[in-house]
Amino acid sequence: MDEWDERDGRAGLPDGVALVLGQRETWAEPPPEMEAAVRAALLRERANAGATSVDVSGIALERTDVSGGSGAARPPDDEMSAARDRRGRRLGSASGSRPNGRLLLVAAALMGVAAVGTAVVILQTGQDSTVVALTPTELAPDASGTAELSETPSGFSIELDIDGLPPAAEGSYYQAWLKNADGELVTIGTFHARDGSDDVILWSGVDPADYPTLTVTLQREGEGAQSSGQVVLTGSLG
Amino acid sequence: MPVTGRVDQEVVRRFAAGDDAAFSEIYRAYSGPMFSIALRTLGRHDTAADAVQQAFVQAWKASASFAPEADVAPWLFTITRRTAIDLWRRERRDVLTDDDTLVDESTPGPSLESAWEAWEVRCAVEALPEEERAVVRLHYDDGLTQTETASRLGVPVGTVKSRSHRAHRRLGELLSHVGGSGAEVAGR
Repeated sequence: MDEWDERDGRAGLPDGVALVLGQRETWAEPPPEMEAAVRAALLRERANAGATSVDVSGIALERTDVSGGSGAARPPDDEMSAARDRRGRRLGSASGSRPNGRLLLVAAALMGVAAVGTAVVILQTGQDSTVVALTPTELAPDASGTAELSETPSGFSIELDIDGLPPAAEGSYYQAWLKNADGELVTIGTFHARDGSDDVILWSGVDPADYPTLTVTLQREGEGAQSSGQVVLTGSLG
Repeated sequence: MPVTGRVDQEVVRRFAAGDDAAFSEIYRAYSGPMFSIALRTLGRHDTAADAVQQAFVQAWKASASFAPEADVAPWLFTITRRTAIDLWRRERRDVLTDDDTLVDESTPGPSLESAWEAWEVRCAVEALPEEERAVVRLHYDDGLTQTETASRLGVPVGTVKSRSHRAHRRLGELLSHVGGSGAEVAGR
């Protein structure tokens, strides 16, 4: 490192700047998932605060009571909370109570989302499934989609409906993961999306309530079974 | 170069109303320095990210009463620092035993001013031409020697030296308004 001291011009720096340059904090980047976490926190906060509409992630959500049942009488924010509660119970216990009606939250502008990050957006909570939004990272900024989560006797089915994700090049593939709070990853399958199919069905043997973060990474063949860390899509099931 | 003024009060007003474009604008402009402030206070990436998340929530709660004449950046950075300090104290409380509860009511991390200056240093580096920025980053961030930097970049050592010289001279110009609290930042 001493060789840098010779004629490198640092003597002209204001006091303390060279020291600042040498600190790790100076170079730290916010983690890519932070924006998603912030959006999710704002969404929750606004829902709890009684906001009349929910569009924190750039997704205009509107309610449609498909069943025409009594659910429409409930205030919107209670519905969001109640949907989460129901989903939490369902994911945590197969014997948990199920909603009577089907609450459908339509993402009117979902495909136009330009934001990079993850949003905890429950698009639909039904008797058999929950749909959450997937949002892209900088590695695939044009990608978007949803993940539909269904509990079955064999495990959890997770169906991805993806748009704008480029087909994986030969020698590479996409891999989906669920991650828990400790950062432990469980893979739920791989795909390449080379034939124009935008629906991918994945399976999880672990409960998404315990592994609530869904990520899709770009992997290279021959580089082992671990995640490459190149996340292209993320979503939060929790 | 100063961060101040990147986002105006109108954006904060829209942020208060739940406008996502306004949130994105604020996030793009300030999440970096907010994270840096939180990291300098807390020392850990995960808790720093938590602090930024909470700071945005606090900012949203307070945004309706945001003073029209106020500057957005210091407002956000102050919220971030307070939030980070609260987190730091909460974590300490969690690990302290009853006998330790009177220990350390001090404030962790650098001052807001020094954190701000540190962020301005980072912005100045980002403003460098790419080849100079690469040399600076490999030196300071990756800790490479000039020889290692030359090897990494595939250029002669003499080129690394000249780029380093130009980079530092340019940084000196860009950061002429900065000074004084850098040592405090370094002294954490």
